[in-house]
Amino acid sequence: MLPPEVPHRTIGQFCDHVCMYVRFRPDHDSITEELTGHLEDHKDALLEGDPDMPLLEAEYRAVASMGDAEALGRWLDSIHSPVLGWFQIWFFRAVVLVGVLAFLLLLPQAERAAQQLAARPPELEISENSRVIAALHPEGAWSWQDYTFSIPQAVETQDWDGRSVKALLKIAHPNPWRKEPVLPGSIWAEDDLGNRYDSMDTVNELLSGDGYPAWRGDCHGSTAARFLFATYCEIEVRKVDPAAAKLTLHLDRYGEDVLWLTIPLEGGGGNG
Amino acid sequence: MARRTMTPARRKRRAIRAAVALPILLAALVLALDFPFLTARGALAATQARYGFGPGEVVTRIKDSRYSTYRYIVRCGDWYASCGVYQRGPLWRSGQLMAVESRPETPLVSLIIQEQVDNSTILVVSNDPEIASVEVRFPVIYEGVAGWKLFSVRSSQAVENCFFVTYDETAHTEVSDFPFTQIGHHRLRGYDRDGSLIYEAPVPEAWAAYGLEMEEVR
Repeated sequence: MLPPEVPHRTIGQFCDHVCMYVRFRPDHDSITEELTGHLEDHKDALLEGDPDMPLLEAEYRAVASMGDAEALGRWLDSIHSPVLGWFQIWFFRAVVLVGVLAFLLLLPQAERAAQQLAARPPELEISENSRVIAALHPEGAWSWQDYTFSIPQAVETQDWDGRSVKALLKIAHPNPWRKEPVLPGSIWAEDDLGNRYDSMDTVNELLSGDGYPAWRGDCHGSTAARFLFATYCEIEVRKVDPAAAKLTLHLDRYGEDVLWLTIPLEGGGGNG
Repeated sequence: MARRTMTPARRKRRAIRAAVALPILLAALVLALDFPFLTARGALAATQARYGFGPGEVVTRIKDSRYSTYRYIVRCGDWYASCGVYQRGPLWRSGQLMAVESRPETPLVSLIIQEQVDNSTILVVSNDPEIASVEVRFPVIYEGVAGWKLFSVRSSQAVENCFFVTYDETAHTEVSDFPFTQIGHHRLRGYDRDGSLIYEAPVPEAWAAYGLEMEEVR
């Protein structure tokens, strides 16, 4: 630091002295650039007025006309806040880091992410041994906790086992943190004649104990597709009573029946 | 071309653009990480929601540092559930849930809550306030000994009315086969503070396959 009684000679020296009082170091370059531009303009103006003036003297006069470097430096320090400045710098760096992380993590999963976002509903799979005898049109939806149940597609089929109903159950969940509900194995069904078609969870329990009667119908559920805001399950109710005209899907959740979705069947006409 | 000097105005505009981009990048990051949770409790709530349980009241929490998991025992009405959540780095994921109903007419019910190669745990829920310790009996085969014998593991370690019965395979090297964690293969007993037997569950039907002598079963 120059003693106060020694005058500044050059533009560079003046700028360095001013910057000594500005705490936010990243702005030193921009302050120097601005001061230098201003002083160069002044110097050029002096030379224009007196073309015979030596360059160095013009520079000294331009610098002298700027006044006290310390006062200017302290004033610039008051408007270049280090807190705000460093926050802006580190905030930008943090966002860049998040962006790089997201890119590196998302790139290998681009296909999965695109499928999740596209959310194209699956189609019901019908085996070659089954014959579709009617397309069904269940209406309405059922809401429970964070989930909304509906049936966008359902068919009635006939195969060697008898009459079956296959339904695509859509479980909508607006909260993506609630995706993949673990419910399909617990869904059971009941027809309008009072016949019960047990869930796979119940069938498996009975199979490990007394056994499950071969003649009895059951309700088989499995997840078909998972998206951010909806999960699709294939529900198949097997060995449906030929006289049944309606089938209602239920869900038992720890002692509480929380789902009622009815599928009207194509009459109770038996084997079609 | 010379690098442009970063002026305060330029820095401010850059920070504003970053602020606009931040929510989009965070959403992409969350999508890439498959929607993790910031806390174990968040993962617990999601696990319960996915299984349609509760939300229940947390009875206790068991930590398994080997696998970076927490296992919560939660209660909702008469139902008790074991809920696992997993930690990956600073983030959490929902896990699996298993539940059992504790009916008033059944003093003791059990739920397998941990099945590992050398350490398995059964949760035993008591409806009888007189029961101070519980015992789990199950068939085993001893090394070099023919036939199944009965083995017992006892526990008085309880949180509220929940007992934790642990079988450590490494502490019983004389045992070569044991269906400790097979549902329906163990029998529960409850003892009072004096050590007197006050409840014994019926003999499991599955024991008929083990050829156990009736004297041992009684």
